[in-house]
Amino acid sequence: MDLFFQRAAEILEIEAIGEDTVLRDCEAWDSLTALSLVAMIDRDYKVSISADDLMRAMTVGDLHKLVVERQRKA
Amino acid sequence: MNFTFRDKRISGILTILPANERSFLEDMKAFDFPEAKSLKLKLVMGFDKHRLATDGTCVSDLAVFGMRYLFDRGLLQPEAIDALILVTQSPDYIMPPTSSVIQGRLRLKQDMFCLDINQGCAGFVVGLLQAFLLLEQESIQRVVVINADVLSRRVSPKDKNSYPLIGDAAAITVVEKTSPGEPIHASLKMDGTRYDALMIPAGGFRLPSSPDTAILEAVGENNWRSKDHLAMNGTAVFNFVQTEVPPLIDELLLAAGLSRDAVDYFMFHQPNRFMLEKLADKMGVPYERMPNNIVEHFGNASGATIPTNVTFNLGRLLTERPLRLCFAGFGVGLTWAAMVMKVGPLAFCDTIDYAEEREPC
Repeated sequence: MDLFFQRAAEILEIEAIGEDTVLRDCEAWDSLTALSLVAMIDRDYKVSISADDLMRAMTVGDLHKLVVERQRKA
Repeated sequence: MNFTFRDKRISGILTILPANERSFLEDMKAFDFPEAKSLKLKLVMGFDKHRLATDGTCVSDLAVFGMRYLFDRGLLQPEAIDALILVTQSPDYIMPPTSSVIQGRLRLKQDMFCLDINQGCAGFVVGLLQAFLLLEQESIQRVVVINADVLSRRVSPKDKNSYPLIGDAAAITVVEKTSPGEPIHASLKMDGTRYDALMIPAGGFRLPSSPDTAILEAVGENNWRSKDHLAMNGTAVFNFVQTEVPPLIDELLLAAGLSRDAVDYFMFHQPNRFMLEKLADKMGVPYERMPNNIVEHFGNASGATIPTNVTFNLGRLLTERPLRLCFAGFGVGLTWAAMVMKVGPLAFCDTIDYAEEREPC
């Protein structure tokens, strides 16, 4: 799942990323970046993230947890 | 409004694409656009490669090339064509009709009805509707519908919201009378109060092209466009599609007495992948049954996009067996139109490249 953080870092345009990285604090955060995360998760993890899911996710770790949970259920 | 047609079918579809392929990422570099952002647009919208006509290639060049391909292979007999409908917004000339130019270049018979229709992204469905109406006549057995545009020539190369995603293409659909079977249903709506959501302001008689209309104007975000160029209100068009298209499909399927599951594939016009995914979500249709990969391979080629979608994604399948397809196009006018019908097995359902072999015309 390290790859998840790598992919997220690329989209968020940051070098240092961790569980606690706050999505909305990233300088590159905008609607396109948000959609890119959703598209990446859908493409690479076959998990669909709704607008509400994204609203509730504060950190990269939250998003990661959501993906792991949904994959387990599937 | 709703339409019903009986005893008519599509017998073949051929898509003609200019061989010249360009890359979205390369195009965006020319705009000094941050690559990280281009990659995101690629990821979300699916923009990747697109096909552009070169060296002044015109709609009739693509159309004549495709028709000759069919004649040469015995897939269509010239004398068997009773009507020729061309749907385009980039005609060779303002007058005469480009359908007449095509008829002349191919030396087709005079006992023929040639008609140009000015339509864009809904042009495949509108062209089929008109073809089916003509087939009600005893004298008309077979109609050729050509959807073709070279709109890249009317898109500003300095408009990064349009240029890197536009595509040029032509498609030939042969429509004919057949023995009784499942009826064809269609629904269409138009709203001319929103005529300016997608338009080329200059070049007609309201605002003739002049040195003034060719001046590039800043339109925000470092994009430049003249009045001779295609202008689109992207947000308005996105909202229009998401609001109007799902209820149109509901109305169509209700009129046809079909459930969503009874439709094998939803073959829609494709402005970008994101828009199609949102439509599929809204309609509760799985992405596999609403292909959204045409823009990434070829760009958005207006009315030719739906037939390109069919030949590229279902080409082999449709030559083997019938499928129930729902077509939907939406765009300029504004116009939104959908059709559900059984298609196949087709005599041909191919995608070919246009190789330059222009003749003086």
